Amino acid sequence: MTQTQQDPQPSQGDQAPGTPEAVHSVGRRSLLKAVGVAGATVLVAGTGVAGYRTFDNGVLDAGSGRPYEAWTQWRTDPSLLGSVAAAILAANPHNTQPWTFKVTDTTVDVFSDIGRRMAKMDPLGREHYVGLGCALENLVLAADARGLRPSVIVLPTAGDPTHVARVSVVRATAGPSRLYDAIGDRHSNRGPYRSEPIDPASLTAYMAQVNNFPGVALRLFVSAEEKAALAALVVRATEAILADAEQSTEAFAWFRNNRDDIDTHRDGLTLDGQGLSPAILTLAKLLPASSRTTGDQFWLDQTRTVHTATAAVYGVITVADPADLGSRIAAGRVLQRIHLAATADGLGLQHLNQITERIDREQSQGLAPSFGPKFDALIGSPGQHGLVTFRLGHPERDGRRSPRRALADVTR
Amino acid sequence: MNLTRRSGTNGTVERRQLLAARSAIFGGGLGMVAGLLQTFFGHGMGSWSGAKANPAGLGLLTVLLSAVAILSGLWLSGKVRPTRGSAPGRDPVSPQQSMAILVGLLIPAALCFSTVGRLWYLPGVILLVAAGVLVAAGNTDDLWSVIRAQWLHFLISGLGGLQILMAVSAAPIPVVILGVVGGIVLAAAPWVPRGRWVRLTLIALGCLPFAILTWWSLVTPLLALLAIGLGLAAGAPRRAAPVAAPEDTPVPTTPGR
Repeated sequence: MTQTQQDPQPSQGDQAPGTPEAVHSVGRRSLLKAVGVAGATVLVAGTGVAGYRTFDNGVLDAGSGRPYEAWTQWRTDPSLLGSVAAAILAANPHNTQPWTFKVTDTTVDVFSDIGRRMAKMDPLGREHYVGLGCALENLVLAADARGLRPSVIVLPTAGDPTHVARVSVVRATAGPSRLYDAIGDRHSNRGPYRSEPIDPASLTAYMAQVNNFPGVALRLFVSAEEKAALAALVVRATEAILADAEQSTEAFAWFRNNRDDIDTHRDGLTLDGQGLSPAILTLAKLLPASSRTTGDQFWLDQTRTVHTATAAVYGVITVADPADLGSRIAAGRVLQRIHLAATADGLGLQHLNQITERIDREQSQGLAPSFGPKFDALIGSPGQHGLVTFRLGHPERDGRRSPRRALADVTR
Repeated sequence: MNLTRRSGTNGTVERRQLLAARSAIFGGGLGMVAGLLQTFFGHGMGSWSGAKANPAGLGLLTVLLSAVAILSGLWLSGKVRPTRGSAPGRDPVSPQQSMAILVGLLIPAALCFSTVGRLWYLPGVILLVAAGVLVAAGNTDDLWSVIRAQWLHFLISGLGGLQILMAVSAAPIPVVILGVVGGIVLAAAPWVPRGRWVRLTLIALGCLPFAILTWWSLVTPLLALLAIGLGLAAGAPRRAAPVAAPEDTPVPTTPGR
């Protein structure tokens, strides 16, 4: 050991201990240390709050747990009840899941759960019955895939609009079904779509989905002009919904802002289903729940900048009489088939029903029709009226699962 | 340093510590029952157990944390503590031990309100009371000294507890296991009586794999950065605090380490 090591001379910035400079330096060092420790404590506390939100809001287990079990169990039961497990994965308005099922060995009766109708957003029950038609189509596809050939009677009980359909089955040979295989992957995709065009052969195949459903037609909006006109009307309808406090409030009531609500209700729209990027989705979950007005503004912005701005193609399913329950159910079956076919093709599909929600709202309120004539003019098919609207495209991100009620909660 | 300076006689301290220990064991036992109920019957208990999406995982976490509380109680009672002197296990615990026991009571007491819902109301309150009695049995100045001296270690351990909490809400199961095991390693790492680099390695091993697998959550990478940063700060060589010398005393020239 050298002398220098044993007895170093104070150098610049290294005062000898005990001198006033050294005491001053120690005081400054203590202060800096205290500030550092306090800063670290604040950072840890902040991380603690964010970590608790991560735990409480299900950031790390999105799309798993009991509310999402239906998406993994719909193939497991080979019986007719198993077909109902597929039916409950169907598209439906605001994920209200407005259905109940009565199941025997050879029949399934599909009923409307009128308590789940949205009185303001869907005052005439248009989307309600379309959603029931979607469930009926999944049920039929799932029965067929199980070797149970289905026959369907729509609205079998005269005078009872809640008895939507009776499906009777007989033993048959099960065959492969591309649409059935897509049931577990079908989700509404509200994220951005790429600019890549859709294969015309796919569009032709979607048009053909109406073939077995007389009176139902599909109008596609492919050209830039047509799309721009429809997009403008969708945005205006969205603004009108947000300006209608009752419609806005009802839509917000079906938004599940946190994991506790999802676990409790197992229905409604969620942050996971909004098509956000992973980082933005996480931030949205970590921050406090948004207010109705904030959520409304977000929806409007997304409609302008993502939903309508990135749609490759719009589709409108049309019927002669949108008020006819049978037509709605048939259109729902077609809509579900198109959505499943698009899923099998790797495409994203999002329902955009703001225009018809305003048409029905105006009618139910006795207001002068403003959206109906414009929508009819855009469709341009005399005698046909738009029933439901959707957009298609190659999605940038996969769609995410929506929560579902348990089979036991919807069967009787 | 001992706990009796302000608290009267050794007998009083012992009685309070014994009460705290028994409360901790009783509360922890009830907590284990709550955890088992959540694990096996949570699906059917609805809001009583918090209507959780993953009751089995949260139930097992509750059992684990309750076991920590029981172990803390047993340590306090002297049943699992190395003894010295003629009264095995009945020496008043040191401030450092008190602090460790307090952490062992407070972390389960706080976390499990989020894991088993109303089932935790009773055990949680009992554990909080046990912690309060333990504090009352000792000298708070001594406890505060320990906290000040080891604050960064406590922060790192707290981050470990936080990682465990997040991990039990994760999916799929391998990620849960990685997160929980990593959280335990992270919580224990600063207290390992080995070199600085061993502790730092343990900290990194505890938090980095989980952070990488769940990078999109933002919080787990932040936690990892924070834990490693704190580990570096906590392990930094300390300078000896120089004392201002009287004017007639020769100035010591040995520099701080």
